[in-house]
Amino acid sequence: MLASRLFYAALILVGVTFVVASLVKLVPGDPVDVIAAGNPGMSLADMELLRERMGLTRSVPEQFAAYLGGALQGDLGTSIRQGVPVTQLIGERLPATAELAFWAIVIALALAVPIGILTALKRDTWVDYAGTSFAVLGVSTPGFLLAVMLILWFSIDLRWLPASGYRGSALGALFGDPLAFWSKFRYFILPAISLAFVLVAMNARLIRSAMLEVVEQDYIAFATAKGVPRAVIILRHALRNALLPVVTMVGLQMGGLLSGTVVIETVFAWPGIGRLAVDAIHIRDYPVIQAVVLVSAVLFITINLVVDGLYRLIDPRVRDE
Amino acid sequence: MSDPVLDIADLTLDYPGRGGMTRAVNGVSFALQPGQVLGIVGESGSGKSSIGMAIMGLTAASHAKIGGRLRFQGRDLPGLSPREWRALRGDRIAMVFQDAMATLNPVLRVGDQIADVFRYHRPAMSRREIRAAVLALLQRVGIHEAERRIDSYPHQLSGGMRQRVVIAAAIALRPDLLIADEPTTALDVTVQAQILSLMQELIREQGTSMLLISHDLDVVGDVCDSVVVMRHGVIVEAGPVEQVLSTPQHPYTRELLAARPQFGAHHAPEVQHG
Amino acid sequence: MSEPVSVAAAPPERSFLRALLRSPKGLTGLLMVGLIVGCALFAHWIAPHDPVRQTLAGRFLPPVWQEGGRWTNLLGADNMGRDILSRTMISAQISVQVALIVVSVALVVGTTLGALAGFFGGWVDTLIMRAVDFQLAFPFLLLALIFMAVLGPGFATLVMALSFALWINFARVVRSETMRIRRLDYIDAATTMGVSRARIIVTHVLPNVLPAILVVATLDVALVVIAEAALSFLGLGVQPPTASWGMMIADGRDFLYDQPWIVIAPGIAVLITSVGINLFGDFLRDYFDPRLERTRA
Repeated sequence: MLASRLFYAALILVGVTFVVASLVKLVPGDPVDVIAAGNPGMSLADMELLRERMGLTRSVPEQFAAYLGGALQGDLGTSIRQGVPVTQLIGERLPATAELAFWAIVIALALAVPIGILTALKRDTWVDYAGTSFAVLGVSTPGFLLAVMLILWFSIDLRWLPASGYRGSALGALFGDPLAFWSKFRYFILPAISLAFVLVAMNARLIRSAMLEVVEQDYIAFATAKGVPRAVIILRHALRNALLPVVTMVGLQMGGLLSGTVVIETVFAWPGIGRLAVDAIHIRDYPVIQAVVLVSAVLFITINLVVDGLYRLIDPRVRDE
Repeated sequence: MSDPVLDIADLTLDYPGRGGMTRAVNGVSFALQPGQVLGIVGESGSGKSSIGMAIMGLTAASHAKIGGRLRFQGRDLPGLSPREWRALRGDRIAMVFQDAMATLNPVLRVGDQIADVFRYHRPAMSRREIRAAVLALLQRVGIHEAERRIDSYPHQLSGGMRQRVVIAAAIALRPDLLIADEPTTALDVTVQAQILSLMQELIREQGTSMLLISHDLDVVGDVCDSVVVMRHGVIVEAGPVEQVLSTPQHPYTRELLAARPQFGAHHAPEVQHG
Repeated sequence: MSEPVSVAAAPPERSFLRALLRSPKGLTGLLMVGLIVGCALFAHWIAPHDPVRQTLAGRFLPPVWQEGGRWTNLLGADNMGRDILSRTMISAQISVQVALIVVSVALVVGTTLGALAGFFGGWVDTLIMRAVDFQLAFPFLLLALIFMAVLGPGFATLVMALSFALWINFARVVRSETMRIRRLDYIDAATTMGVSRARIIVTHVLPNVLPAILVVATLDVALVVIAEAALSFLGLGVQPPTASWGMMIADGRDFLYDQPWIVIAPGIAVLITSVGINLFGDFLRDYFDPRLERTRA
């Protein structure tokens, strides 16, 4: 079962690599001409060289094979603008994006679980309506808008938090130099909240729905019939079942998170791969664009596989299949 | 003369629904003495299950309204506070539901689910003592290899074993009243008899009174001392079980008796009208 | 990105109009959307100024309620002296146009492919589902971004990119609904009677799939509005001189310290649009199947 899923995932990745490798060929016109237009110092020889390096002179299958071969060895090409190996660029920037995503998920779950439980328990009261309004707002607010507004309120008006920048890993500080944690973490707060907002809204609704359904089940009546206290019923008997559908959804939400980082990193001048991608697109640095697309696809597919595995682990019914 | 275990008079139960309240139980009266087994027989919609839920205090979630008298050992049940309910449920009054697969929480081990009654009613017991008690219970209800089964999940057990687990949790603290709502309906025929005789053994051993709710007259005939027949929320006939089953007075009772599948018969026996 | 919504094909029990009038969220949503669509339709006539006209004198004019504000420019002017109210109103055109075109194209393509996959099954289904699975490896916005990267920014490529990213939402829902309906008895009856398959699809399957399509379409309009704003914010959407809320917010970002109003007006406009659409979409979903408590993705 697992083997077939891995195989299928690998197949998709091969397909993605094919698309990525062919990307330069899909550009209308000659991309090198466009690049040359922005770089007046390029000679005709330089342009020919660039064409060769970008694979424009090869046929599509050759290009695909070459790119795949390179990728498997860790060579994702060289940045046109910066002249350094793309793998190096990505390696430098991936940790910043990964940690940002991590904190966003932590914040999202820390808020979504209590809100979800509360709105389910207090269904149809003002608490529920407040929660629903918040959910609608959360799903409707574009990340970049929230980011800008947060900067306006917390950085400019209140001066509590920085408007941009990155001072290194906060997680690293936790394990290395705990006193420095806050000085690094405070740079994560606004970007992470901007990313987390829509996740909180979606997951709070999910948990609410799941809790409402679970609470109707016979095994909850059974727990009541045994005299189990209400708090224990909710947290132990009900929640564990209610979280199961959430786990499956989290994998899919990662896609939105990845997309979100592109925009949020731009707003906060965050040194991650999202901003790397946007900058690369603006200057037509194709090797970088290709690499970022490939890396995101790999990440997304891997995360979904992991989430699937996690689900199998925590639902005892599925574990034994 | 001690209090009857259950003292029910003119009990009414109304559920809110679209277009006002529906009356599920309409003026039901009966009493259950200590050590007695009373059967409530009826088809779906007769209100029999609602009575069981009301006694257990499980109707609050549906916002049902209880009217009339509903007393357990002299105490008025609908007037109890949540804390008093929690002390009572699982300890003095216990319930066995119909479908054990739905009754047991799929993500918790069965041993844990039985241990719950000890955890919340006998706080003085240590974890080891509780585990020993659960093991003993599993063995008592006829589950072999209790050591292995105690850490199993519900889906790993057969239907009969699951129901035994539910029964184990119900009788763990030797309750005064056991309510069994269709305890054998979801089981294979071969297992039904085993479960019924197990329940009989246990309640006789512990002196528990039992309220057996069922649509199956044969089951009721086997196990109960007296029986009450319900239809559309009212009692149409009541009395000692041999009497009601052999000489039914009410035409509905006769219909129920006649409708049972008869082995070896090639046509439905005639119903005497009038 | 939305999960596949499953809406039962129960015929709505009350008239649509009556349900709408009784639903506060439906009415509020509709009102908000109406406001935006009105701006889009009539911006040319009701906008107080030419949104493109730049003036040196009018640069950084604050809104009328702040000190220095003037009644000629209710919401103030931006760094190039352009009237913000007019620009905000005319940007509604872009959002409405992009949303309508993209959702329509995605709806037609996605519904057709989804219905074919669900109805015929077999290799048709496998083929289409493999395509969907493959495309799912790319998150929605990222996919649109790649498109724009390859083809260059602009209105036409933006529409193509978003349509391409969106069709799978419709395909999945229509496929599952079609598969469900196909199993119903009266479909078998029609086939036995010799009704052509094309006719069955059009007269039996599609009307029952319609509620699900409508709900997905409505919620996806909000998705597209936000995606367009995000892409324009990044500079990869519509290009100047075309005005778009996303672009206005991006331009105004540099002046957030002293002239925040440049960003606030288009921000509120985006919010009104997407909140309105989501409210109305929620109402639609409740209307078509009020019994189920459904999750929101």
